[in-house]
Amino acid sequence: MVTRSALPPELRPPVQMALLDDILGIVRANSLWPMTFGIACCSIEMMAAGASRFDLDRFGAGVFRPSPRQSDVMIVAGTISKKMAPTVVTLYEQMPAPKWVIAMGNCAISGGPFVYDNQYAIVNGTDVILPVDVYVPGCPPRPEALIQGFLELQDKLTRGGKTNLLRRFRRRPRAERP
Amino acid sequence: MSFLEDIRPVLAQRFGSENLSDQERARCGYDLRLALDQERLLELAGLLKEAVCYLEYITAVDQGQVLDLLYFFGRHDQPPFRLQVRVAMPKGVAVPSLANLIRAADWQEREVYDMFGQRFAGHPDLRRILLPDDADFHPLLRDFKPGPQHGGEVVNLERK
Repeated sequence: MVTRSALPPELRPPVQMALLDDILGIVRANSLWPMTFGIACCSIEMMAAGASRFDLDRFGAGVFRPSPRQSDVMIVAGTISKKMAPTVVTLYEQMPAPKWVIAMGNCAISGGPFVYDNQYAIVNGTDVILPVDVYVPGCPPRPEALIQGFLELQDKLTRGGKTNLLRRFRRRPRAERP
Repeated sequence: MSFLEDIRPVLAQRFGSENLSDQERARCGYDLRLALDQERLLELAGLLKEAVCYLEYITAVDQGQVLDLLYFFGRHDQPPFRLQVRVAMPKGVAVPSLANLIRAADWQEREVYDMFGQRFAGHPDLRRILLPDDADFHPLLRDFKPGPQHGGEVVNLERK
């Protein structure tokens, strides 16, 4: 007779006492719905992250929705010009809560190379106009970096990677990473 | 016979050979330069449209009191052909719009208006195109001095 404790840990049923928020966090974290939305060259890397080679779908975030009403993650992938800023905010406001924002690339983080004295056209980063949850640096970031950004967002929603019971993999400890 | 050899005598006869100058394409990118008065701009555009030339782009150079408007017309030909038309406008005077004749001029003229403040008479919709609608400056003019009110932290999220 096989006792429960003889099962390897990944086969044990994920039964755990949790607050409703924690359960919802796990559910939300493993079913993120990014919006189809790119405003500059970083969005090319975002598309690569969603396509077959990097396959964002493995982490439950691969279906880019064509409408803000159906999305809960906004990836700000690119430079925000002052002309574009009201549109970005409108899109964010159209998303149903709970919603999260990933600032992808240096332009979305801080304005990037466009920040200098006397510039008049570019917004100095997403956080000037929106609350940002995860920053993904790079110019542009590799698709792996965006995927790591998504994992960070999942960790934020589940308050750490260990409590994400539905995740189908475990990250190697930092010391073992290449 | 190339298109350049065809069109050169026509332009010289109608707009004056003293206004026409040959250019070295390998050096500056165009074959002919035509200095034109603004009153004859529409006439020239109609002629070039009939000759299946297309409007490549419009830009301007701030020369102090005068704004030099530069129109580039091209033609997909072998050898290729490109004409630069230079219209000197005193600042604050409207130039006839080509937008009703050549649709491509619509956004080009809006951009020149946006960057240089040049008005185009008869343009169907002369609004800002690259800068926000509430911008009160024309950044490519030489006397434009950006200040803190233009910085990246100051964003107007109101839409018109």
